[in-house]
Amino acid sequence: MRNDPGATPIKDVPAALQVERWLSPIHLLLTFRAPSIAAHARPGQFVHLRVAPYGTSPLLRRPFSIAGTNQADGTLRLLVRTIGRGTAMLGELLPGAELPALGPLGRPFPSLPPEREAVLVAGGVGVAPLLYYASAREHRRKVALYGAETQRALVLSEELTAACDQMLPATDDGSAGHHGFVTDLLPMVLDELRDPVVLACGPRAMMAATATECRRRGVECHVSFEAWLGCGVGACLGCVIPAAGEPRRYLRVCRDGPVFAAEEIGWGELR
Amino acid sequence: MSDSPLDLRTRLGPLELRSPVITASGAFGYGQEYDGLLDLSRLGAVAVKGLTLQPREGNPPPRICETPSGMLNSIGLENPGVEVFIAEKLPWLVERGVPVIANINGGTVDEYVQLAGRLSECPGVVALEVNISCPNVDHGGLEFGKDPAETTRVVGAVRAATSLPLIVKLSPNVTSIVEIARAALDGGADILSLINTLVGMSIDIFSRRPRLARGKGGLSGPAIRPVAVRMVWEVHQALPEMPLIGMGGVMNGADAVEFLLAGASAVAVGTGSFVTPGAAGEVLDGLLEYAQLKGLTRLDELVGKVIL
Repeated sequence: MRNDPGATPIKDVPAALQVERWLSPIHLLLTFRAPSIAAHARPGQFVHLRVAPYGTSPLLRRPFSIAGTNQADGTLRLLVRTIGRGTAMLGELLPGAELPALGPLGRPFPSLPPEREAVLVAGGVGVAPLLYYASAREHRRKVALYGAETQRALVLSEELTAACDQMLPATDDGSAGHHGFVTDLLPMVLDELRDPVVLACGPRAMMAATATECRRRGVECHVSFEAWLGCGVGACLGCVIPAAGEPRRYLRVCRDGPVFAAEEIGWGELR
Repeated sequence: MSDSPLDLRTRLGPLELRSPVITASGAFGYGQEYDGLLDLSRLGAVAVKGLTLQPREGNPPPRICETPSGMLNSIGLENPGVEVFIAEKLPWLVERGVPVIANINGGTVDEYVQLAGRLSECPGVVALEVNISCPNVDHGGLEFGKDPAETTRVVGAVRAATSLPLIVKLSPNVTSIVEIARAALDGGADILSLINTLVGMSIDIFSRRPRLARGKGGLSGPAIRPVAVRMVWEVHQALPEMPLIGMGGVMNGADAVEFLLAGASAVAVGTGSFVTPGAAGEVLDGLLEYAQLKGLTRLDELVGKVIL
């Protein structure tokens, strides 16, 4: 993708933290100023952040889907779930801190005709690229399905609601919306739409269930993957997932994705 | 560059490079992946991702994980095969005037020989790097690199098949690196690359599974730098005439100077390129700064000059 003529230029630039907002005890929304990335980013793309710019722990960068951009002030937003040392360190940054940011990286969501209806299936922090998509792209109708463990983990749900025509939450504990998996809601929503396309980002099991339902109905489906990355630019081959078909072959999440058409993925071999 | 007082040209036996900084095999793809992220004309060479005769799909994921100041990988030599490399990957580097070091991997001696023969016909390939140290494959790789007689056998066979400068990339997973270095010299090696990754393992204590699908993998990054520096120093002490390319956690100019003082004539940047895509350029900048600070005109004034 990236070597196509007109592909977005990738830059490694200092990103200055502007605003840090805790959305829950473990969810952080970070706004960084990085005009060269914000200007070229498209929904579904990500940045690769060096969390400890002067140290070697953690060593590798951490990838984050872009949750939105603001062209006026050259900023981009990242949603972070603090799950380990690298992400915890992001929560300790002070405004003004500069981190090396490589981006925009990866294959974005495809350009889809606005006359089609878009169904966005989000699981947890997988909401980030879908919120960006919903804010940036026009569709005749946008329906979001958003699942998390509990109500407090449904972060940015007001923004998602505002960016879509309909937003249906689901929680594992029943504290908000449907009590169960977000994918339980998909058949009912798809039944009501004329020419839908489904975009999903979340846990692999959620995306697999979404892809299965779409395949059964012949509905176009795109999924955005997360993986541990090395380089972020397609060189190290560390982040691969199995491709569909024979002979066995792998796809690089960082460069061939992170967004894939569902039929590109070897779902049966995914772990 | 031209106004730099430091002469960066680097002689490694029969191989002359325009700069002492190389990107290490496996960490820089085929160069194109880093297009626009650093000035390739400043690199001495790009050592491309390890090549095999036939395409290889590589190992199942997860293939990498982070460890203290380092990382483990078990990619398993995924590559499109030598013919696709020559047709689709090599031209991009050659068009940009980037000297290419072809890293070759075989399951048998004959496969190394065939690869060497084929790549020796390709303009732009300035040297072959015989990889006898990949820890992530079932056949070949480290099986050759941990045994002196096997090392001499495979290097000798490749030597007979090519007139290109011959680099041999050694594994640190041996009892005596000097013994293997001597064996490579006996086989006809011109230059040695050291070190490849150290075999390691990391376990997720919650799932109780190894964090890499294949269990073990190769440790790289700053965590292994002291081991690499020690091995470069040992080999340089034993074989002072043998040109060495030092690698293992080179992140900046200071790290490169450390390798030169231990006895390397050039350095390669591996994991550093993942952390900073322009790391190889920063390493060169740091070398220039150090040389200016110390009033050096040639970097070979540093080689092996650790004071004991």
